[in-house]
Amino acid sequence: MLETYVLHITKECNMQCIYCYEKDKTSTYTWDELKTLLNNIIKHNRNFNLEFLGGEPCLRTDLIKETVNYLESIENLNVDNYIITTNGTIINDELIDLMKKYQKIKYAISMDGNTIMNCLRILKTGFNSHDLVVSNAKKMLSIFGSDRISSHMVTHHYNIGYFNDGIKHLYDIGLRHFGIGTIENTMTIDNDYCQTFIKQHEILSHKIKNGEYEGIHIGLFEGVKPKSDERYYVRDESGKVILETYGRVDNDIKNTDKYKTQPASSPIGNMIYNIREKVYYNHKRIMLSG
Amino acid sequence: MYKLNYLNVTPLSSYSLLVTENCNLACKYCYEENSSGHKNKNMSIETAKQLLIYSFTESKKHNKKVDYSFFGGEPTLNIDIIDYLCTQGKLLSKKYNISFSVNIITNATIMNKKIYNIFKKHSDVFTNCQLSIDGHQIVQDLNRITKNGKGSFNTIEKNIPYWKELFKDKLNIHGVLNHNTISELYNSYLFFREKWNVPMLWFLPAKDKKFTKNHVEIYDHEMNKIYNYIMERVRKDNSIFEIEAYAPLNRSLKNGGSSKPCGIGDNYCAVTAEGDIFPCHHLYFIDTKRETLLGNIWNGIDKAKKLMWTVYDNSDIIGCQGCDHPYCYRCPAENYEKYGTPFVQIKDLHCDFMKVDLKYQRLIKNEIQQMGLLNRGNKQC
Repeated sequence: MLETYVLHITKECNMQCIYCYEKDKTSTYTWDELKTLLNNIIKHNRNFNLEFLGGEPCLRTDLIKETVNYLESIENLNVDNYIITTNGTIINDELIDLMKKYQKIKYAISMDGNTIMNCLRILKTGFNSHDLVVSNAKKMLSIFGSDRISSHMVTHHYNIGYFNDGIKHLYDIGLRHFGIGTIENTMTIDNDYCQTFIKQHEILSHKIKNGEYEGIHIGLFEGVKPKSDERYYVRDESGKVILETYGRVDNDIKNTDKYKTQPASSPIGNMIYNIREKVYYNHKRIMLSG
Repeated sequence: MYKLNYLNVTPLSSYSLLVTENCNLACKYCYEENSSGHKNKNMSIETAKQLLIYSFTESKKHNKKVDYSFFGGEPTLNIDIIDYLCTQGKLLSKKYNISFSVNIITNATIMNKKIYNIFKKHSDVFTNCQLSIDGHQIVQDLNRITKNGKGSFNTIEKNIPYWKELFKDKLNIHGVLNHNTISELYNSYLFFREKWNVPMLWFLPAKDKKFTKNHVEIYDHEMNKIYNYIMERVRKDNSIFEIEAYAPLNRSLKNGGSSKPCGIGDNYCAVTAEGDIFPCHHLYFIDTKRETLLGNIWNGIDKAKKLMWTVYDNSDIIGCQGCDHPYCYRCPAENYEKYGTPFVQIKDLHCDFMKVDLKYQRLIKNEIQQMGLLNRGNKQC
């Protein structure tokens, strides 16, 4: 599996999600810092995916542009995909022009479903981000199509009961690629959540089998991230996180002395892996059944 | 096929029943009128029958109580269903040994022999009757008008003796304060308290967009007069009855607030005229996309959807961290209406109004503590 480097380009955000896990909400990064980091990445690895993360990365579309232009100008380097993981509240001409120039930039919107499902994703103004994000998603879908615009949904025990309503809602908007995640660290994950997660996915599997969702892609139904994936945080000299990796490459930037690397531990990692594996096999079983 | 039955969520026991969505008034500030508009939907006998089956079956499982709140629209427009639900509820209560109570929230405009007799017949199960009236004649007729644009005060005043006779100390009046009525708060209070002799009163500033900081000062001024009036009577009577009778100052007698603003979707829900179950009636009227629908009385509720309302608490609400007001009146449905989430608290002037309440709650608490009256209440407030 290809390594994905997750580049932190600003810790600032225009939202105040109730479940936000980020403690650092102020760090910013200069192009010089990022360029040094990128040079250290490509010293060891010439083929990877690059994800832009924050804070809200679209607050710094200038840094996204610098990064993509820089890496694309280097010979014998192959970045398969650039993924902008965004809260979907910010789109501008600079970003749209960049995405028009480079087909391999993907725009992944974090939104949790319909209004009630999205109730913990709050703009700094106090409003649920839902209406703004739906309006932006429609615009991006109309320009770039559903293969380049995807959605990532965070589930937790407040919204998991509404999961199928949320998928239908986002599908009706025109989204076709969905990543489904589970809240970690900031909310309790209990048996009720796990059972509901599995049950709701079963319902979705049946709907897909019955032909209700033509062309839908649910990441979890197509494969479970290998258990060997272990996320590492890469920190710069000042201690701020600048990069994440999944540890899929033996000798790369995480093994160099220049940066401090530490594995990210999740106290419920096993539980989440187990329910995801269960969902994956349930889906296979349902799709293969008569 | 996909019903969930493993979730340990709080069972429902309090039902706000939209026995009709129809109303004979067209109050200028009504959220029902301003969202989807009053509809001519009435709860049918079939729906009422199923509601009884659903609510008593749920309570049997959990050995809880059943409490119906007759709401609308104007509930007295469908008095036959109120009669039916009370009669059958009492029978089921005996049969299954489940505690059964009802209350009503009415605009007080409709009273006749039939209605009088039905309320009389069921007075044993009524725990409360709330009349929604904003104040004395000028105040009431400013906003609470009929569909023809006429004031409703005169009609109501003729009915007051009957409401008082029927409900006695279970009768209370709730008034809404707006930018054009808040300066008359004390006069309205005095009018209800002395002219009509109804002691159980509650006034609440609405979410009126025309409110300004100036109105908060007016509210403070008006509350000061009510506070002085109440404390004078407390000293004279050596009793805290007048404090117990007036919300929000009755909160002075409480120790600490609740873990969440209200029972929305937790032990409490709304059942619409058509039998749908929503977390509360306010959400039903404003959530026109019906995303918050929990289920219906025929197929039951989706417990996984109810989980949110069971598990959330004050700590989830943005805007209230660090605030020391334990009795702030907060409404998750109003938050949802404004912000698209129950978990962002409407602040600004709302906070200012609530802080006025807190100021007088604290003053009263201190004074009655010094008078040795703090724990001498006759009622649970």
